[in-house]
Amino acid sequence: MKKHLLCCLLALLGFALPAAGITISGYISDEETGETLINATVYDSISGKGAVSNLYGFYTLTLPEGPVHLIYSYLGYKPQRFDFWADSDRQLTVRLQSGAELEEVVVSGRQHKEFGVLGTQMSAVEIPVAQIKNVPSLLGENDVIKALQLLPGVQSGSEGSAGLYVRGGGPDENLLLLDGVPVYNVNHMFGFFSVFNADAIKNVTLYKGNFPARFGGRLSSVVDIRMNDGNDKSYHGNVSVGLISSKFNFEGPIVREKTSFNLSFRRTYADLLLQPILQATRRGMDELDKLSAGYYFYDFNAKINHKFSDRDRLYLSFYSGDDAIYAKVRNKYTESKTYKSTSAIGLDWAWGNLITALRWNHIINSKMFLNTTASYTRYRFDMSIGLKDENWEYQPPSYLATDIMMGYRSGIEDYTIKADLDYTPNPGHTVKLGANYTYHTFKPGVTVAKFRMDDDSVHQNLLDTVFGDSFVYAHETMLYAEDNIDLGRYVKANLGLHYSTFFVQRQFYHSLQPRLGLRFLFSDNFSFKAGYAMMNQYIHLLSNSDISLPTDLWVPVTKRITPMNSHQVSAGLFYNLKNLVDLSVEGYYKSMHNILEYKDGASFMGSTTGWEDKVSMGRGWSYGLEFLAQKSYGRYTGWIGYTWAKSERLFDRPGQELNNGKVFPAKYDRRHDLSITASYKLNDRIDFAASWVYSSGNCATLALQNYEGSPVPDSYQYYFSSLPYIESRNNYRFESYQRLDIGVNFRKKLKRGTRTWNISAYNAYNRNNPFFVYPSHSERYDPVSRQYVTKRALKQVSIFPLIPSISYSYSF
Amino acid sequence: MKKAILYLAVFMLFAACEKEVRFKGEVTEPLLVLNGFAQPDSLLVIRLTASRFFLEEVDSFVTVKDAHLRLYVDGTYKEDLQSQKNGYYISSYRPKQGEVLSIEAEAPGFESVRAEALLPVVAELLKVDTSITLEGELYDLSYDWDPEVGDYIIDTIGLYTNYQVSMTLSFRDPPTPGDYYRVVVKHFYGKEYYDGYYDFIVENFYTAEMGDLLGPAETQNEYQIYADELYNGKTVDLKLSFAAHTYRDYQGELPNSTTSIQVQLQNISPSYYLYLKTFSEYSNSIDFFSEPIQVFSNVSGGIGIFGAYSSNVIELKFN
Repeated sequence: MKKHLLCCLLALLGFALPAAGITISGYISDEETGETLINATVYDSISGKGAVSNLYGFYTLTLPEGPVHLIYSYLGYKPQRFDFWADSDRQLTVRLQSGAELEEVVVSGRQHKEFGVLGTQMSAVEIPVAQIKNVPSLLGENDVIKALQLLPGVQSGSEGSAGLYVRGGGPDENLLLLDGVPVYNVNHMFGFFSVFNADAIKNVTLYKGNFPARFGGRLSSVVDIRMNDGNDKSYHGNVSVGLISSKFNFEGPIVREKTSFNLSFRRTYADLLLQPILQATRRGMDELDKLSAGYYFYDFNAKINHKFSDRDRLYLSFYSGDDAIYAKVRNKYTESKTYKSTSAIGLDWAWGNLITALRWNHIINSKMFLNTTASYTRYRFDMSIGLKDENWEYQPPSYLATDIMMGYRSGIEDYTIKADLDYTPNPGHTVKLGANYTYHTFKPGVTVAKFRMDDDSVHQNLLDTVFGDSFVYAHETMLYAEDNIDLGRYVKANLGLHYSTFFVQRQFYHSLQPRLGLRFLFSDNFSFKAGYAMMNQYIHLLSNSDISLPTDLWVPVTKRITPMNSHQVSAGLFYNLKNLVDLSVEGYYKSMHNILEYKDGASFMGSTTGWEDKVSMGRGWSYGLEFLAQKSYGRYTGWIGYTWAKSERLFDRPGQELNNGKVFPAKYDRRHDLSITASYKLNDRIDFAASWVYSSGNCATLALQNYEGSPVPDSYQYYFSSLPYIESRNNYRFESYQRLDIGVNFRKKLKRGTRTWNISAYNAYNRNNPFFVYPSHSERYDPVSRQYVTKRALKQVSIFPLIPSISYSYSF
Repeated sequence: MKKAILYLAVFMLFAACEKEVRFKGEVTEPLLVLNGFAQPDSLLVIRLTASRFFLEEVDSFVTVKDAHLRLYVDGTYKEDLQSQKNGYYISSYRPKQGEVLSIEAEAPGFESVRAEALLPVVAELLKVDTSITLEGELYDLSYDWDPEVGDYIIDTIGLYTNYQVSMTLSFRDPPTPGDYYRVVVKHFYGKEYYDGYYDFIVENFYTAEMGDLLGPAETQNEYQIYADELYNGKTVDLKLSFAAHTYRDYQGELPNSTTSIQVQLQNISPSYYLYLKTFSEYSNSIDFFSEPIQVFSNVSGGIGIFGAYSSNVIELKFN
């Protein structure tokens, strides 16, 4: 089978012979900012041929020699037309003018968008960042991940969490890329916010299936996030102050139209506001000498790009984001002039990502584009607790001090080099080839313990030790070939092969993964698409199942825990209504193998010790139907998404049975998910936005019967206990989930910029959505017996009621 | 008006959190609960009760007295168990090591249930080495208030003698996988005054996983149960140590008879092992976020545990 696929691919690559004609190539970018435009279209109305710009804004179009009428277009931008006689290859870099003031932009000719009706790609959605910024959000914090959760096929997990459950997959099965570099922990504040600051982002694309061969390493989704390059013409910025954080964004040219930068910074400040309260508390306590404590998170994005020539560009991207919890308490005790003592306790937790990527874009010739990247990414969790005591006696003089410190460190670190080559021999044929090597360092929990004691004469290190699991090193390589080819006017195919290897602790795993996408065109605005993708995953996230904790830890496959893999087939109908609204209906079936679930009672709290014994390996499958209507431009924008889905698990391997080896629903199996997201621009000063979500309730495991447990022979457990009887895992479904978020922006042009007030409300009608339920008791006053009566009851806990928020921003 | 809006906003903000909700799932029917443990050469005692729906306003469990229980040995019908008080049923047959025991129970209003257990053959004990070290003596003092003296009078009422016992039990694990063991140390004063169980350390049979700052050492092996995964078919030297003591009662209320310690190496049925393991995990579970623990049941059609065990008994006597 694999041989046949390889032969087919090579045969298709054989067609990649250069077509006769002239080639026009270059970059498509924004007139005002110089930002390259991804997936912009160039179309020759004479030959009817067109092309789409790639991730770096580069396009290439080979046409017959003669007159050409080129139309460059991009959603939300004024199309530009170039008419000339093409008699030789030429580079044409085009800057499109943003048409924000236009009601609707009508683009003539066929739109060669990769995700639209004409492209082969399905199960993928691109959301304009402007739309993400408009979606009302928790505490007014724009959130890329929360916006993605509103799309069909994507579920959010528990209330407020930034987890992604795509087409029945798990939260660790998503590849989140920031400028092409994996981000291992995308959460701030235990998952209530994501690390992606919308101010720094240019483009977000979600792939749920039919994965192009260039992606690999996760089973369920790829979220490709690209950062802004920076305005290469003039300086601009944005400052905003919200309820929990403030943001700052500044961009501009270093050398006009050659070198530009973009800087974004966000930080929460609840901890800074807390300090005066703590100091007031301290003043009431004589012995308390110093007191500070708090929590904050921050994100810093930076990007510099330099254009050496029309052929060569260099980009340097950087991201650093941390969460931190800290507490410092110092006590002072003095007794007359004979004795003095101090004690101090310190706690420091910090966790976060650091990412950097150096990327070189090189146009080899008008048909070949090379992107070479060297990158580094790491996630680390550091924790330390210290206790220091000092005692002075003056008569006779003596001194005694003890210093105890315990620390814990864990994380993951990757060095990656990769090369991607785009070759476009003719407008109907694009070949992508690439190679990638990653050196992983997995850092399981390491504990540091120190105990030191000093007195007048002796200094003793009583303990100075490090223990825990040693680092694990792994080598991951990836090769891919992708061939996107027109097979006549109506049929287009994307054939791909992805080959990956993983070498860790003397274990070698490899996988050849075929990818296939087909498009059958009924008319210029109506098509049918079908696809198949196999995916493989070599790493697992040891995590608590419900919320994101900083101690969540990535671990590689082992001899016992073998790689996960999935097979997904999908098919759907795509319709474009007057170039304004994209409509699609997709169905999918996905099977997942070697997936992990925690055994009953097992959870991960930061220690990797014995983790293989805490999990079971099994399989799962999910299927569903998704409907999406998306309008990305105009006075009204937004989308309506609906999903009908089912996701189940079976863990029946001997010794690893869960739920007695019977099928059970996945944790976030939900039958119905409906989301409506809309924004309306009333005029230049006021716009409104709202999103409404309705979904079936989440599953939970609830013991519906209690029974008498037997006393244990030969033990102190001689009594009859009451035990819960759980018939099956995830056997109880919560009430449905509903939420309406609304927001309004008031804009005003000032002398040197624009100020915006945003007022929004999360959970506007204060629905008590279930976070969890548990059996308990309730107490009621019985007026007949005049006594309080206790009865058994089911209690539900909700965490986010109506939360209003307000923010102010000023852009210049 | 402004105040009213403010009050409303504050109320809305804090109205959420916790509330009683109506149970919307299926109200399941009670199941027959069968519990019992078989030992060789002992009468088999089974208790039958009914489970109850978790929202039912009853604290105790109903015993099932009118059931019909049949005992099968190695697949052959042996006898009906006789009903006793409080839902207990008893056999007249005394099972033997190596027998497969099955119980079928039928009771009006319940689905019939069935449970099976293999009464294990005890492991072949090859050698027992014991060393006892005298650790010291400690007087047991009483403090009685004497109103005439106006102070506490100290009286010596007994004497503790403390020992440290180290024992090595050498036994052969059968070559078949799936053998399970339990170690028990019992302490007796004479024959009548039963004192309880000793905590003890098994040094080499099970290696406790080293914890770290975030993941402390695994929960204690509460019932000292072991699977033979690491030892299958091998000769095992099981080393255990514990502190023991004798007590001399100066007031004559306790007989100054021999203190005895029983060390039992039990072979337990797989179902009994799984029950103890999951029961212990359930009892010690404090992690709110983990999946709830399902205590093991081997009763098909119902709930409960039908386990079996055989014991090697080593007795130590202290005069």
